[in-house]
Amino acid sequence: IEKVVRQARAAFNSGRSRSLEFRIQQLKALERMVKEKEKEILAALHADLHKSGRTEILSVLGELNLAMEKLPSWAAPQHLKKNLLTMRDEVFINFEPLGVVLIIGAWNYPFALVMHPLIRPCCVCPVGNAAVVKPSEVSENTAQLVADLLPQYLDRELYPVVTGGAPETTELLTQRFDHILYTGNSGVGKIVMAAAAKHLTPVTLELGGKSPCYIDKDCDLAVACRRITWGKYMNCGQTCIAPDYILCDPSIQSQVVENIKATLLEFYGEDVKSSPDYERIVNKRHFQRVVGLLEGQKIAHGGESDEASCFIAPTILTDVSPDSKVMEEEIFGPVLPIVTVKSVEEAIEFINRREKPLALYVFSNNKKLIRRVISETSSGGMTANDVLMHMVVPDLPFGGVGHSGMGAYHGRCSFETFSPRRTCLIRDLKLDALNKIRYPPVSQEKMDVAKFILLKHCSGCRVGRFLSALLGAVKAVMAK
Amino acid sequence: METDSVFLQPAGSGAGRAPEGDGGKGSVDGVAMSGNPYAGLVSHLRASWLSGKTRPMEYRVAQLEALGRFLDEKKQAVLEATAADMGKPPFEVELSETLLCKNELRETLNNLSHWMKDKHVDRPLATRLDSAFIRKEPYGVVLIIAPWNYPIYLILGPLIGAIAAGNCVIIKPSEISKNTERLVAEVLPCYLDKDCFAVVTGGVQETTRLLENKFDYIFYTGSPPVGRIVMTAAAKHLTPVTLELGGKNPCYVSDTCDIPNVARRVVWGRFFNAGQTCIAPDYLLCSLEMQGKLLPALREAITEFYGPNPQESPDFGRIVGDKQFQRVRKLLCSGRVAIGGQTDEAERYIAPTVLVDVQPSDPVMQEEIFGPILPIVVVANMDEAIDFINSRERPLAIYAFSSSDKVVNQVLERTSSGGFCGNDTLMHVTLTSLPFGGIGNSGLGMYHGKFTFDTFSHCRGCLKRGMGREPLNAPRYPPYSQKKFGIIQATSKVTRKDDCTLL
Repeated sequence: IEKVVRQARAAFNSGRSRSLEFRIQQLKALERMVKEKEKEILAALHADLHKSGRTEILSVLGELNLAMEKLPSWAAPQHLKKNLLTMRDEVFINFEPLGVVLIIGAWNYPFALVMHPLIRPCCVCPVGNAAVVKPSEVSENTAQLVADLLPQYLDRELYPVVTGGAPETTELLTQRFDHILYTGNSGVGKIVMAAAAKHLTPVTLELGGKSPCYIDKDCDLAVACRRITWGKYMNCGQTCIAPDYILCDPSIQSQVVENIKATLLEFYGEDVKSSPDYERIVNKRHFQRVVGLLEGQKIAHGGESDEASCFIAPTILTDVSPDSKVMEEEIFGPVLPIVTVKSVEEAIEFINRREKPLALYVFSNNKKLIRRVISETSSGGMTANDVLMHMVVPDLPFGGVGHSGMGAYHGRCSFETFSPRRTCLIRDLKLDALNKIRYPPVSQEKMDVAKFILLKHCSGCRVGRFLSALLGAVKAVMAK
Repeated sequence: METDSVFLQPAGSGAGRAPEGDGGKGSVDGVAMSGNPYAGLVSHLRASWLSGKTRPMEYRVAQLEALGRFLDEKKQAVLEATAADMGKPPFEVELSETLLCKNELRETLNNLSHWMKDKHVDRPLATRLDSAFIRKEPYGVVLIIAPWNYPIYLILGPLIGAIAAGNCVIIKPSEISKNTERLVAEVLPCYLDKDCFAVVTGGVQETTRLLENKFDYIFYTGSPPVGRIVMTAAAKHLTPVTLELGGKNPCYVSDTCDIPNVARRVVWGRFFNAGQTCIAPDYLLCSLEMQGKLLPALREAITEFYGPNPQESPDFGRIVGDKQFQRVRKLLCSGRVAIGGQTDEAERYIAPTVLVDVQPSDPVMQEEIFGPILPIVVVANMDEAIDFINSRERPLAIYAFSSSDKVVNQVLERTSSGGFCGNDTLMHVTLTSLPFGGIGNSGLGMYHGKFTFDTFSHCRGCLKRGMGREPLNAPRYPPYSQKKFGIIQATSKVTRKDDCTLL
């Protein structure tokens, strides 16, 4: 592993990843890879999670498109306002490549969560960084596929893939990287950040949490429940921004259950297990974990499971107690608890008493209520009257806050994370007259002129200020 | 900044005194005792934050205006405290502490309403009819740990942004600049809302206990070793951090340049605040020939600025403490003293000094100098200089002097650093529109002006949809089909310029 990292760093230092043409070429190669190997990718995803995977591929292709289009404009240095003292100078912000980035992928969207950080117009290719990719060993088929495919299409030294489990990841984390992007859970997030601290490596942590979903009495329940059902049970509940639990008034609880049941029938038919569109839990360990959460709960719908195929039926729990196990950890499975609250105040208080979630959802016809929920809570991101969709808007930053993560990516916001900004000021070497104001020995006059030129003013005529400053400067120079 | 770990310092002023009160007071002296002594303070501030008090713009503006009044009314006190701490000349205080703070305040007050606004973004076809925006939200309770070299600016700079972003703040000034620490602890809380802002004093032990608490953001300015400690403590609570650290800032002088101007600008940048500036040019790289020409020019510039005996100049500062003085004085043994070299322990005075015949392995080249010593390392040419710079940790700033634009641009393009200034020193940080921060060992994150506001704000992606138009959502629901997939593909596609679209 040390050799792999060293090679990546040497490749980065060679400077070949800096050129725009090189980066676009790599992006194009990735696009070819996704298109040519679509069948293999879909097969691996199906083997790992019994999923169709087409949306994952779609999102990756979309990202590639965006990157290739926007890269030239995003990578250009930014020229800025100057102050009076630097009028004659060149002032700009350069976007620089960072170095070697470590990308640790997750298993729930195993292809996308490795590809997006590679492509994302913030991360690797577009900025000119090198990357060591570590796909999750839990989704073993996709991990192996990524390890096989990437070297065939991309520069092998710049973008090596490292496979393995906890021991390999631990060893990787002892190496020095210039940024670490980790997608996973908070527990491991802390370990990653502590390891990064040893090298003062910045991190982006895409973690998780319990994303609450508040349903107001005043809303179209049928529509709300359909949307929630879609977001909750997609990928068998294994989505970091899935609505984790519902908060609603006790009077609408049974209606919510009925609506969700009806939608489930519509989506997956009578026999969910035989629906080609319903996924499975990724492995036995997680299967047992999720099934364990059902203990002692009131199951209003579902609850069936089959360990051999890691199947858990779409399940709804009612009258769930806030202290129960299912309300302690992120569920990451097709189990939807409903906790009753008497008012939106109680819901807000409930949400704020807990760790900040990755996403927050609120369903209501009342715009004021929605505004209030947004203002009085905090979360990584949120969608009102739907679920998951804020992730679809490329210019909205996607990331957590507090326990749900730090740093963000998507769109321009994140381009700046992975390509640090370097402030550049290039001055004229010849004219030193104006500089004399700042040199000792100091006089009251110099002080006054310096203050006048450097101090910002709340308002005032720009031309007048400029002229006075110039006069003052001339005066100071002449006095010298 | 301290280059040796603050950890090695004896416990600060808090030792032996009973804690003065709970979180309700503005200033709390911590003492190591069972149970975290700051837990009460932190939860009090968190409760204030949760109450929503700091959110309205009017509140933030009021607090910021109070900071402005502090700067105006306590100007004399600030001058006296910084003079007592490290002999800071009043001109330097005005320029590098007061003035910079005032600029930050004005920039923030002028633009706050604009910065706070939700930023609406472009939407793909699938969400075209919805409202998508980025909401800037405060993190909650933030901790600002400041160093001693620009004790007012390096507290107020981040503080202004933290308040502007709507956070509650605990400020931890450096115990090394004792007089300024006392000023900040006793006077600053009187200007601010005591329920939301507090100052904590103390040394290493107190800071360690403080860091055990959960904060929602930590902003640390100081040395890389302590930066690691801060980030490790932050990792326990998954607290995001900004670390403004340091390093050895190289200054390359090419063979073609205006020598007197170079000398003046380098001398100014190096000996400002007696060299105790994180972005000061730490060492010079030039050819042997250039060294020969530079030395008399440097000597002349020093005399021009500080007179024949800098110890008598009111415009030259002192080293902040005895320990730091000893550390810097030891570095004089490297190479040979070409200019200066005199010291006076009683005053903690070290003369503006230039060292020559310095080897890369000498002690003066192993740590950030943070004192009025300028070593010159001889290199054959620009390429060698660039290689030299790239073989070391990425610094906070890189300086390059040349009459040739090409040379300056080459150095810029082939190196990496937090910031860069061609043909001058320090000036790139005076513009509030430019971000200031390090990279690699010199730091993480950035601030100044709007960037400070952004540092202390969480960008929350928000999407507001309507309940109607449900049929438009139909393609995304199971049971899946190729037809449905085709529609999704079409509505979420970002078209490339060379794609042909039929619309």
